Amino acid sequence: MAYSAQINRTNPTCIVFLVDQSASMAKSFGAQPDKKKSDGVADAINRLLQTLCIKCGRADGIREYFQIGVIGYGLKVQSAMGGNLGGRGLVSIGEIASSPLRVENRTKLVEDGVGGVIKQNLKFPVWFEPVANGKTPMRQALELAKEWVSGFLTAHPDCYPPLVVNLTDGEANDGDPSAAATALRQLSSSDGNVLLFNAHISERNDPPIMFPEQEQGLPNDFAKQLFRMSSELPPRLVEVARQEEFTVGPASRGFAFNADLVAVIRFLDIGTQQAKGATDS
Amino acid sequence: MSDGFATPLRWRAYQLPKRGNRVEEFEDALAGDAQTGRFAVADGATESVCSDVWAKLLVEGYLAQPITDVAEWIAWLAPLRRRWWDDVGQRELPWYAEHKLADGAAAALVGLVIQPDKTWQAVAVGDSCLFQMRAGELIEAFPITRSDDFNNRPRLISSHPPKQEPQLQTVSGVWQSGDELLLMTDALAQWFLSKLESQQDPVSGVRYLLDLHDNPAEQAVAIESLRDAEVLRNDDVILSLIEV
Repeated sequence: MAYSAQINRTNPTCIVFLVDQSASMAKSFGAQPDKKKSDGVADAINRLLQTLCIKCGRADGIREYFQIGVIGYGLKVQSAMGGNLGGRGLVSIGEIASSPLRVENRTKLVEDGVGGVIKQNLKFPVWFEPVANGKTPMRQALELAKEWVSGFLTAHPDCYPPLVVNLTDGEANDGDPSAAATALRQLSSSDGNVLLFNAHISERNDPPIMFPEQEQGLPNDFAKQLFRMSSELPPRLVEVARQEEFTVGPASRGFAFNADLVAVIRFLDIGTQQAKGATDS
Repeated sequence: MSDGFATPLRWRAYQLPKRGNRVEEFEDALAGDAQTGRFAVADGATESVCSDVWAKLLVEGYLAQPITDVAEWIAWLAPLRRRWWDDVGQRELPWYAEHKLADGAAAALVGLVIQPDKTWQAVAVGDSCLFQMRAGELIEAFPITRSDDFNNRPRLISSHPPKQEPQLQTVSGVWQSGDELLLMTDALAQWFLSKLESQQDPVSGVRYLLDLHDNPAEQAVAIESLRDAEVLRNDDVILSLIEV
């Protein structure tokens, strides 16, 4: 059965994020008009990386379940890793966890689990600052992702299929990105084809859409094109999404409109998770 | 509770971490006392933090005071929760582990008390299992009865009180001389049930494994061959066999 390989340290998988850094990203973000789209995307990628680190984190360190790459596309198409990781291609999740650009300290009130509430100082690492400059060479970004993922697949032929997550406002202007998306999705490990998910951030204040089954009802042509470029969710992910109370069906695709894809990280199976509700204290 | 058995029960156990994990990363725990007839197995959830500490507290808590009454369940958990927090709440943890601390740790538990009066009582939350076998026949499977019923998101016991506590499941039975009572974590339990469903005898495999007790390398080979054949999910394994 496809998409059943276990993700572990001897058989890690890879996740590549494509981050739209074009000038149009300086426009306001529909869901939060006081924010630029580039802020929304930087927030999203930082939260995605935080979620991945937390997922792999234990008291004694990070378990290296993932190789992570981030490609920025705008003025240039290149690795968008900053700081100590500047310019690098795929890096381990452990290196990500230990190499943020900066760390924000926030205080959060949390339950101590025995009836009390305590102030907990939590660190929120930031790896990416917003960038909005240049055009939208999405096709080239997808082609670079294909190069990186191909290299990973050569070294890890039996891995859980790599995941590519594209965060964009949708307006590619280096030609039709569809063929590059198809070529990327056609790469495969012995466990299935590469998954390409798209998160479309829009200026429009339309309600969020997650994992739609059809393009009818999507608000514009860019959204429709990104929907068509997105992989169908494998049945196992459909099942997990349903358990997490998303409305999904067999034709649902890895596409989000004005919504983030952080949930997708939770869906990745690296071992026993708590059922939803088990920790909603 | 009785004073236990005049002659200790015959109890053998085995544990092996998930392939790719180090021994110190083992998240399951087992405990047993062949004199009092108390046994427990707990399986810490991979994605929660310090779940190994929680699993150990649960099995030790069960051996010290076996819970039997569902009405006492929350009160029974309270001191264990406090001990978990006392242990891990003050630790210096990396930033990613601190984020998880507020969610608490989670574990499955199965506990068994065998009485000299030929009865036994068991409790469970989650997917760690008890099987009672008699001359190759399954007498009881608890709390999961079919190999298809395992998944990666069981309801578990959390070290933090959730909005809705998972229900403590209970069962009891009688034993005869020669019966085998087995406790095991989910991956092995799923294998055990699937063997039974295909009319095969899983107990001989379990015995073979335990008979290799003085040869841990061979034991690991036996488990790895099942993992390679994909009849056993790659997960921490705990097995406890009590012969009465």
